[in-house]
Amino acid sequence: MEVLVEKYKRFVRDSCNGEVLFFGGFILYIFWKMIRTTMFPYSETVFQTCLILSVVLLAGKIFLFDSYTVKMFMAVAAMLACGLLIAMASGYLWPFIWVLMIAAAKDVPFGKILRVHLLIGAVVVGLAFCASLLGVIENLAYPATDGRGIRYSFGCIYTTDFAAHLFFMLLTAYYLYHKKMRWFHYIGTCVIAGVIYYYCNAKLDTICILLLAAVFGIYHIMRWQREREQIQTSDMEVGNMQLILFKRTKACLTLKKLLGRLAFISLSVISLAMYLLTSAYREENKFLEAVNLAISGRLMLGKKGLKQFGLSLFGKNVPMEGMGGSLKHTKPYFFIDCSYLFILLRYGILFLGIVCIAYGIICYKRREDTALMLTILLLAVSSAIDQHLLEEAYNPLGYALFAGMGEMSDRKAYIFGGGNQAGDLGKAYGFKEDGGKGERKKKKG
Amino acid sequence: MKQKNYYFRCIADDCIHYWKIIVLSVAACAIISGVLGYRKIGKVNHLAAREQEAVDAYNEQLAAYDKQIEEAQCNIDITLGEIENIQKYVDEAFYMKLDAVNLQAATAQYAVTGAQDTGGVLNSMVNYLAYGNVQECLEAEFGSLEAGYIRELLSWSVNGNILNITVLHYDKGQGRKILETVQKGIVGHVPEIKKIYGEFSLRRLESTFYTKKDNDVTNVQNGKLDALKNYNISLADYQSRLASNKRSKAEYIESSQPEVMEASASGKILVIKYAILGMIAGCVIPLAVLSLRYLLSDRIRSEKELIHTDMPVFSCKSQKEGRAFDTVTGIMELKFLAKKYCAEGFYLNLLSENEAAIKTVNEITKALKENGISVASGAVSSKDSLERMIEKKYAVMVVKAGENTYPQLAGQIRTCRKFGIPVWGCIVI
Repeated sequence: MEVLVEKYKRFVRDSCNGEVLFFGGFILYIFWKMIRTTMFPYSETVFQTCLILSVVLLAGKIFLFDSYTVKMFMAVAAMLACGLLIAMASGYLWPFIWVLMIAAAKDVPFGKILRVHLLIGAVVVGLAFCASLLGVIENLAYPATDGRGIRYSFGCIYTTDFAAHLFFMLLTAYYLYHKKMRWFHYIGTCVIAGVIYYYCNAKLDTICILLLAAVFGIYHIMRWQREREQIQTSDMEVGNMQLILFKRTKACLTLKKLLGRLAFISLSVISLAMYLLTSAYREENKFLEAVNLAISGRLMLGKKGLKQFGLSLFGKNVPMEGMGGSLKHTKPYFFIDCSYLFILLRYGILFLGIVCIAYGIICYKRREDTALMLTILLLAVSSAIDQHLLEEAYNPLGYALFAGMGEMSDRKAYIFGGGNQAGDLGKAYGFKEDGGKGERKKKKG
Repeated sequence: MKQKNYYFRCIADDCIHYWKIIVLSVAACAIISGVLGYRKIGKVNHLAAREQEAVDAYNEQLAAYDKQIEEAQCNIDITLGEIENIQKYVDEAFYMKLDAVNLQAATAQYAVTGAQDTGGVLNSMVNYLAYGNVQECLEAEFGSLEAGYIRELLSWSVNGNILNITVLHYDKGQGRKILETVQKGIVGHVPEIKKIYGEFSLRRLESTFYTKKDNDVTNVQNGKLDALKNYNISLADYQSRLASNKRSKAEYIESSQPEVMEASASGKILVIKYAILGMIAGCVIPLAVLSLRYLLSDRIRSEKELIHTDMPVFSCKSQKEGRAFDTVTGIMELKFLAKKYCAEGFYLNLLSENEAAIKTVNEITKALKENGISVASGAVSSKDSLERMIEKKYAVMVVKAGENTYPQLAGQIRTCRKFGIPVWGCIVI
């Protein structure tokens, strides 16, 4: 017993074990959530067991390793309490688990979380794809309603789910590796979009993927131009010095600020816009009907949902019947394919507000990270036409709320510890006393 | 290999290192999948007579449900069509807008005289009103949509040689206008009748405009509305029947679907497919595990990454890149540091016993020896190496990217700190 206690104390003393607990719970949970989006058979008992284990690991990480300021603690506690109230009111535990996962991601490097998520996604979706082509699991083939042939789901429960998986994986990959992207990556992305459109007929997801390539392509060009900024001199002088203009750099910086502000308000604005469009929807209104047809009847279904279930603070039990999982459906189709309305109806007004605020805080905290701003903008747009904003199997961007800003801060703590090793090293190498970030200064003589 | 590929290189190194496990995994997954595939065939290869009966009965019942659903749907479609028609009539027809207690009637009377066959002439006029020609006049005046509804407002009667034409409307002016149009039509039709029945004279008697009450109008209107109501009730009934049939079918499928539905077609091919999937999974899963291990471990991935931790890094590129070692930046920096601290030498602390690391260290040692700087090297795992490091008084860490971790580096720095040995920085290989 004493040995166990000693082991436990040693375990808790090492802060790295917090990350171990987090990733243990994270990988288990994400893996099963992704399996559930495919046609692989699984046992509900095993899933529930893994879910409980994940929750225990994540809760363990929060209680044993995380420290909070008073404000942060109140915020997290309030979000968890909201999640519990939603579970009691509507019967849905997912908001609570979402909040738990985000809280547990505190100080875990965000890049690492995204890489792990991408890896698991690639493995699960890849295996499902191969299995469906081999015929081991069903490759659901739905006839397209507009007579454009057959829509395949390639091992996922529905065609748009497969397309959404690809979109979110590409989104994550673009964010992680945007600096290393080359022209053939963008071409490849467009090819993927074309393949999705041809085989899955997922029109809106195709548009999102093309938008992703276009937006990041433009950003890439702007960065590349800024890096190659020619010094432009004007005839103006200030004092006795000629004024130098960095036009492209200035444009880039202006765009960065603008993107930061847009991303900050994107989720709130788009969610409000979708709610207003949906509640105002009338078949007789030509403009709204055109929008409705363009987004495949989402306004009509959303309106039906609003009429039938109405709004509530903590959500309601809203049964939905989608087309996924099988080719035989006897119940009438009713599925809200808009994340904002989905959350509004099932989880309530309060939780939608929490989600919008959470992403707003992410945008504010990481406003210097332009790639993340672009990613969140694209996420906000795609969430208007799919229901995956809160689904951990698809969207890993929510973890940015509490996750570590960079991967280096813990590394520095590792190497330099609590002492002034950095100072010692600096002295040895002629660095500044504060271990500063300036360029290396080589001492002469 | 370029520095940016260290990720995949290290994962590839791990894969080569653990090739036996990967091969075992591929074999195991292929076998397990093959067995699963074989069991699936076994389940459905043959259906026993009882199983076949159960499947047939199940399919029959499903077909019956489908037929009922189809019928209900068909009835719904027909009813919807009828409702649409009646609703359109109710919304658009002038007759439905008439006020039975305030009907505006416009009447015209014509007398036929001098005809050889008065009856025939009057019949022709009645036919004109009843069977279509008057429609053209009404369409020309009011448009085709309204003309259809106007016909209902028109009525006529023959008394002896008198033809009475009556137009009912809710608007006096409109009623008058319609009557005038009809009268024009009648007058225009007279020459055609004369060609058949010979000369006759059509004298217009008085036209009258008055208000009247007519219960028949109410009856007709109510009849239409009742029909609409009945159709709506039928529609609701068919819809609830359809929903009930669909629900029953779903419940039946859930409760009564036989486990085995059909015999499998090609057994061997299924086993092969499962085995292929098993092999793919056998490759992918270990690769994923190794990648995860690499991602989650605190390995030092590159020189650049270490630079970001504010750790001084000496760049010593290998001879493979064609540069002589004594001109490499890192070597020069180490020479200058040795001169600055008037050190006779320093200790290269190897964190990895990798061949490449040892080779690089030997080359650095050689290059520095030529400049009169003595360099000792080794892994500080034994008493002798620790003694040598203490003797040299200064240390430089040598780490292998993708292999050594931050905790290892931190541990070595702590050891150096314990013995008061300044660490000048790191060399990343």
